[in-house]
Formats: sequence, structure tokens, C-alpha cells
Amino acid sequence: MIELNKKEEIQTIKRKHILILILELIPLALFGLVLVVAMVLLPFAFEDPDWMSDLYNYFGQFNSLYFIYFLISLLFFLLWNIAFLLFSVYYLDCWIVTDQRTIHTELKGLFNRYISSIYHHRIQDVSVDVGGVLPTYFNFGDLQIQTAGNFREFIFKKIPEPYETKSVVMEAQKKFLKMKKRSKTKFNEKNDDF
Amino acid sequence: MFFIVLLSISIISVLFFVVMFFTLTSHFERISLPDNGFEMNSKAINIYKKGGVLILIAMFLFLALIFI
Repeated sequence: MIELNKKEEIQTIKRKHILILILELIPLALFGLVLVVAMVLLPFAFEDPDWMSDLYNYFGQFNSLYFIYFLISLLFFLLWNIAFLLFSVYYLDCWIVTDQRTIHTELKGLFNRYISSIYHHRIQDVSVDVGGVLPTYFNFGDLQIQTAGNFREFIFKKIPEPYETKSVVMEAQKKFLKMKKRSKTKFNEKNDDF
Repeated sequence: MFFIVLLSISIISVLFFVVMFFTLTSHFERISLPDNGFEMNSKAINIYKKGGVLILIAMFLFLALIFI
């Protein structure tokens, strides 16, 4: 569970542009379509079993058609799991901008999860990079945050509306610095509290 | 021998599905935010679960039909 501090409010949550996920899923969808077509056409191929004679010789007492269907369903099963893993990586890789900090969560593979956060007073520079035909047309790109400290760079990769997100981050930083100045007690980063 | 190989493949597939399902479910739960910035959690997991179970049922059905 990502826990927010007291009175911490979320300004925006950003994920990669949906087009990135679609482009990753298209090959899987095409392969799935090929498997469906194969399942539909196989019974017709089995009407002339000469080319399947080796298979019949080996699996003589078994129903060879359903054996191939079983193998195809196995491939479907793998495709389904890969598709959902791609979706999970897309959905769980996100950048959360609150009024106090920016949080980055990333799912690197099935058993590897990465979460980092940076308070806004540590931000030194925010820049946007939109390059290429698709990113320009669909308005997505990279937003880079230069920070002081261990994590030098925070990169929002291929997010939609990067310029607007930059404005949100800058605005959040401005408010956070004002709040930090106004607060009577020193901001204690370790306790995440004013 | 053939039956044992097919059965082994089916069991390994089921185990793979179960491990992936529980791992991804726990990831979704751990990344959740208090004000629900992840509304898709339960929908996504349900779709994955239902789709996976359907495919597994089909797999075992074909497995059974091989020997009929």
C-alpha cells in the first residue's frame, strides 16, 4: 500500500500513453487470431489425413485433432498470461504527483517492484521531451525531473500531456515551498511531516 | 507415457496460472491508494481470472477428448 502523509493530496496520476499498451498488445492479438483461424480450419485439413499420417501412426489410438486443439489452448493460455502481464506493467507503472512529493512506482517483471518518491523542495529542474511523429500527433512524451540527492533524475516515460503535467509539477512545487516557508516548525523529511 | 506427459503439462500450466494470479493480485493491492487511484484493480483481476479459468476448462476438455 502506498501511504500518503497527513493532509497530502493527489494532484495527478500519470501512466504511459494507452497507445504504448495497444502497440504491445497488437502482435499478441494477431497471433491469437492466427490460432483461432487454425482451430476453425483444422477439421477441414483432417478430412484429408495423408499429411497427418505420421501423427496418426504415433498417436493412433488418440484423437489427433483434439491433441492439436489442446496444444493451441496451451498457446492461448500463454498469450492470455503475457497480455495480462503487459497490462499490469502498463497499469502499475505510474507517477503520482501530490502536493508534497512525486512518487514513482514500477513493476519490473513479475517479482520485482520498485517504488521511489521525491519531495518537491528537492526538484531543481523540470524538462519535457516530445520527439517523433506519433508522440507529436498523440501528444505524449518524457518528462524529466532533475533532483538534488541520491535520485538525480525522475523520468516520466511516454506520458500523455507532458507539458500540462510539467505545469502541475511546477505549481505543486511552488505551493510546497510556500507552505514550507510559512510553517513554524521545520519540515522533517524523515517523519514526512511538518 | 503420452498421457503422463500431457497431464504434467496441464498441471504445470495450472500452477503457472495460479502463481501469476496471486502475484499480480498482491501487486495490485500493494500499489493501491487510499483514495482509489486504481479503480481498475478488481475489474482487471476479475477479467483475468475469468478468462484464465475459461481457457483452463477448454484445455482440460480437449485433454479429455483426446482419449475418447
